[in-house]
Amino acid sequence: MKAEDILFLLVLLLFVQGYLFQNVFPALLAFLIVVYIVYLRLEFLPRINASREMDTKLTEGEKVKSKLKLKNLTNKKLVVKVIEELPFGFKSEEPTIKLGEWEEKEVEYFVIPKRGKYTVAGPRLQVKDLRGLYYTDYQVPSKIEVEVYPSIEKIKEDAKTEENIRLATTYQKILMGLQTLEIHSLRRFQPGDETKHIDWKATARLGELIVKDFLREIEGDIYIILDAGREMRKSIRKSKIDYATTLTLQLLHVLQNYRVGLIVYDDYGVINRIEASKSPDQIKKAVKSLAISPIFANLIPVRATFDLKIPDESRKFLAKIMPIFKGKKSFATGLIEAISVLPSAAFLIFISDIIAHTGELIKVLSELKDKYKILLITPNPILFYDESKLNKETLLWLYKRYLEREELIRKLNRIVPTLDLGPSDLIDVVRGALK
Amino acid sequence: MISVIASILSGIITGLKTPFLSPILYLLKSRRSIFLLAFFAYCLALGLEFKILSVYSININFFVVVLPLILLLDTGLKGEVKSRLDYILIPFLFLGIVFKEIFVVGMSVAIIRNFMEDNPRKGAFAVIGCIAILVTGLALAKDVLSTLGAVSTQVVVIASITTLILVFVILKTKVEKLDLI
Repeated sequence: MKAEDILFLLVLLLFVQGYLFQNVFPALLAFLIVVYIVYLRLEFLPRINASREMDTKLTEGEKVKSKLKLKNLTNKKLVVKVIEELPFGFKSEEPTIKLGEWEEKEVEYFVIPKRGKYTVAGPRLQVKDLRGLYYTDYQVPSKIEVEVYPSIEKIKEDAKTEENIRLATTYQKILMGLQTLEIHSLRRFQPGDETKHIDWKATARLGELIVKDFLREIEGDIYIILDAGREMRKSIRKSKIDYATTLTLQLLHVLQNYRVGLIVYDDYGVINRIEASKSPDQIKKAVKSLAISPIFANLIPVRATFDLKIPDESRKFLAKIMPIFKGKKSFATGLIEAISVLPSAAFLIFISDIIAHTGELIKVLSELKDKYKILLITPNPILFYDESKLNKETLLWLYKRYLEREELIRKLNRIVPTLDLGPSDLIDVVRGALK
Repeated sequence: MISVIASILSGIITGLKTPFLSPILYLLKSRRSIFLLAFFAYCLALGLEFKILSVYSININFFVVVLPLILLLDTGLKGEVKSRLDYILIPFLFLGIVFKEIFVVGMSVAIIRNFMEDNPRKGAFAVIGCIAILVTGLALAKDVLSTLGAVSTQVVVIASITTLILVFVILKTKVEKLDLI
């Protein structure tokens, strides 16, 4: 119910009261209340001028100041409520400001951005009268293109935790597991060490388990090949791309002692390519190429769709014209383009959604597996499903899809080591699966 | 604060009990929705207690009751705006216990001071215009409306004029209404 409607209802009841009780006072009182409403309505003519300033290069999760300049263009006092209509995932304060007659004010409040490239419009201003009966909306004519990069500090902090140190060891040991026969040193046995590396003589001499540590060699560069296609960017609760970019940065941090490169591709081509290097700026470069916006969706497909009923001829025709629609000259997909720029020898870590372009991914992996050492990491969409939307039917449906997906993962595992991950098992599952 | 003091004084002057409830309304002004509902009940209670049998027999008591009520409504919605003038007016309002006219003059000054803060333009003329229309209408129909037992007819006439004004203003002004809560 509106505030003014209460007064109208009161006016009506006062007239009824006056009529029924043969009393003029309630009617006169009602008349005066209406006169008061008339006065307020006629006096409410708000006009303001507003503009917004904001940094364009932002870091995910870090508060950024949004500076709003307001000017009251009337001789009436006004109350302005800031209503932010920011991209999905952004958080913001929504201050309320009192503006005096002809007053000019600068207001600063914080916005917490989410990774990606966005156009931040507005904000919308709800300009109210002092009595809180009426308002009018005013859209600030500002459109700011912002790029929100992942937070390096946060990734570093995460990597510093014990869990991540253990993950790093696992990655280094297993992903870079090209051991030579040359013994580097002896050390105490640690959980995860292979029993065949135990030096029994040293163990007998020292009375505790001692293992041989071999020198390691790295064959070529390491390339992380990140899929930033449409399926990866779809988001209900948390998008797979958020998870994948975090994982990418963690990998880059963990592997900073090696020559690591990054290739980011989408459905239509390579978006970004960072040459393999040991440079300390490698993470910073990666952060800039990882400003990928998630797409908000109501439903995420959870299995590969092989049963397209489009006739072959039509499919071929569509395949030919699709790149033209997207303004692309080449007919190669993003994945093909990504692998075409790879060096002759490298360790490849694919982070991709196996749902989109499954056939193509299998084909590519099959071709590459003999030439390169490959690891495939795939975020499982079922694990990214919003729990609040679960009911008996969806749960059953999800479970069936999960089993089908498991089968697909098994198939992929026959080609290359494949890790199927959810949003919460960034560390544990990776480590466990790699062991 | 002056609105509450004036309301209590109006109760003392006219012998009505309802105005003594005004401090409750004043305390509720921090929550606009509850204030409006309380004001709703307050007006109906006042309408039951205070009787005027004809618009042609209105005396000073009507203004003693109504003026603090308008100020109370506005203070409740807008919030208290302190002014030195209010402190000067309060002794005069107390004098109103003896001389009602002083109370009415004091209240009129307080109301004008209160609304002058809005720097009114069209609104002020509209208020004068609305009152003028009502007074003119009632004056023109005095012969018909001043007969014995014509109270209900007077109420209907006032309601009709009010409705016409309201419809006209609603059609002329385009505003978005705020929710109660």
